[in-house]
Amino acid sequence: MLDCMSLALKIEAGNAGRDEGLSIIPEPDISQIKNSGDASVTLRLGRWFISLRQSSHPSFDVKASANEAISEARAAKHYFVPFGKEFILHPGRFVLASTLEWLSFPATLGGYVGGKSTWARRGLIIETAAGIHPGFNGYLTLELANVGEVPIIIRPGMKIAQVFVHELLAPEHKLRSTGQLKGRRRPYLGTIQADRILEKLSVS
Amino acid sequence: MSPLTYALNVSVLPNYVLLGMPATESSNALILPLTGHELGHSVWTNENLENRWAAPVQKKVYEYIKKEKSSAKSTTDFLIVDEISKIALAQMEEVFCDAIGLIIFGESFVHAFHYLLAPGWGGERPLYYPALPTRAKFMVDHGGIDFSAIGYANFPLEFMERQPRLSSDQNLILNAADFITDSVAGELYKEATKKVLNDIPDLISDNNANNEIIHLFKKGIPARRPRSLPDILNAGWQYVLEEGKTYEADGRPIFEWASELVLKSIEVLEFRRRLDA
Repeated sequence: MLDCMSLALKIEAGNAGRDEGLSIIPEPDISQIKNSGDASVTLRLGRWFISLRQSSHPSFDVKASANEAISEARAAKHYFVPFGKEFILHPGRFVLASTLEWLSFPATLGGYVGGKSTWARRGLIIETAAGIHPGFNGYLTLELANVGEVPIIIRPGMKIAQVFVHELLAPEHKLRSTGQLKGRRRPYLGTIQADRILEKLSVS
Repeated sequence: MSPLTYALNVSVLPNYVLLGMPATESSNALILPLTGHELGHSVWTNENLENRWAAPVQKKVYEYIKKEKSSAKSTTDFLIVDEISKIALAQMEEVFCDAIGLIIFGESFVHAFHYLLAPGWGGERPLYYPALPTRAKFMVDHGGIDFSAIGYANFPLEFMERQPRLSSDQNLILNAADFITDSVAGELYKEATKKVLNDIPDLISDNNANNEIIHLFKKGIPARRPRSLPDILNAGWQYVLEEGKTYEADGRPIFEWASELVLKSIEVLEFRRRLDA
C-alpha cells in the first residue's frame, strides 16, 4: 500500500501526464496529502445520480441475458445536481453516484475505494464493489444506501470516500483494465455479464 | 433571428445561450463552439447593432439601386428599399455572429461549423443568411486563422447551396442584400473582435494554452488546470482530428470518448473557478 508521500509523488507524476503516475482530476491538495500521514486520498461526490425505477419492472434476475435485460433508460432515472444543490437520500433508499474525481491508474497500480467512517456511523453506506483494477480510467461508481433511520442530505463536492492504492508485485505483467465501466463521466448501470456456470446450474 | 435561437433567450434568460441541435448530436460536446454564434445574437441585440447599422445600410441600398436602376423598373419602390435593408441587416447579424464565435473559440468553431453544416443545409439557400460558401469566405478573409494549417485548403469550396428560384425583383433584392453584406463583412469582423477583446480578453482561444490539455487527452485524462472553455474545445477537436475520427482502443466512437473528456474538463473548470472565487 502506498504511503502519503508516495501517493503525492504518484499523483504529481500522473497529473503531469507521465505513464508511471496516478492521475486524479480535479487535483487534490498535494501538500495536504504529503502532510496527512494517511495512506489514502479523500474523494468527493460527483454531480450525477442514478436511481432504479421501481415501477417499470418487477425484479432483476441475475440469470437474465444481456438481450433479456431491460435497457438502462427504462431501468434507471438520471439526476444532475448542480454544485450548491442537494440530494436527499431517504431511509432504505439506494442510489448510484460517482466520485467528482476522474482517476487514471497506470498498469502498475491498483486500489480499493472505501467509505468515510464519519458517514458510515450515520447510516450512509458508500461502496460495495471496491476493487479498482490496474489501468482503470474514469470516475468511480459509488453505491450509496441509507441504512439509518433519518434522511441524509448529500451534496455534490462533499467528501464521500477514500481510495487506497497498491503497487503490483509483478509490474512487468502490464495488466490493463478492459471493463465496460471505465472511461465514463457519469454513473452507468452496465449490463450483467454472461455466466456459463450459473446457466448450467440453473437448468431445472 | 437564427432558427437555432430560442426567441426568449435575451430577455427572459439573459445568462443563457440556448443551442438547438439535431437529436443525434445531443451528446456531442464538440459542437459547443457553435454557442459562440448564438451568443452573437445576444450581443447584436444587447448592443443595439441593428439600429446602429440601419441608416448606413439604407444609404448603401439607395446607392446600389441608383447604380442598378436600368435593370429594374420598380427600383424606386419604398417597399423594395425596405426589403433589401431588412434582408441585408439579417445577413449582417449572421455574419457578426459567426465572427463572435470564431474570435472566441478559434479553430474549434471552424471545425464545429464544418462538421455540422458542410456541405450544406440540404435545400435552397435561406434569404436571410448569406450563402454558406460566402460565410466560409468571410471567415477565411477576416477571421485571422490560417485555414490551410488546420486542414482546409479551400474552406468555401467545402460548402454548396442551391440558389432559390426568384422573380427578377426578388433577384434584385437578394443581389443587393448580398452586395451590401459583402461590403461590410470586414467591418463586422472588426467590431466583433473589438467587442470580444474588450469584454473577455482572457477567455478567447489560445493555441499555446491548450497544449497541456491535448497531452492529457491523449493519455485519457481530462484537463488538469483548464483556463477557458475555448482551450478545452480546441484541444478536444485537435485530439479527435489527430485520432483520425475513427475509434478509440476500447471500441467506443471517438466523438463519444472525446465528449466525456471535454465535459469532465468543463466540470473541472467550473470546480476551479468556484474555488478561486
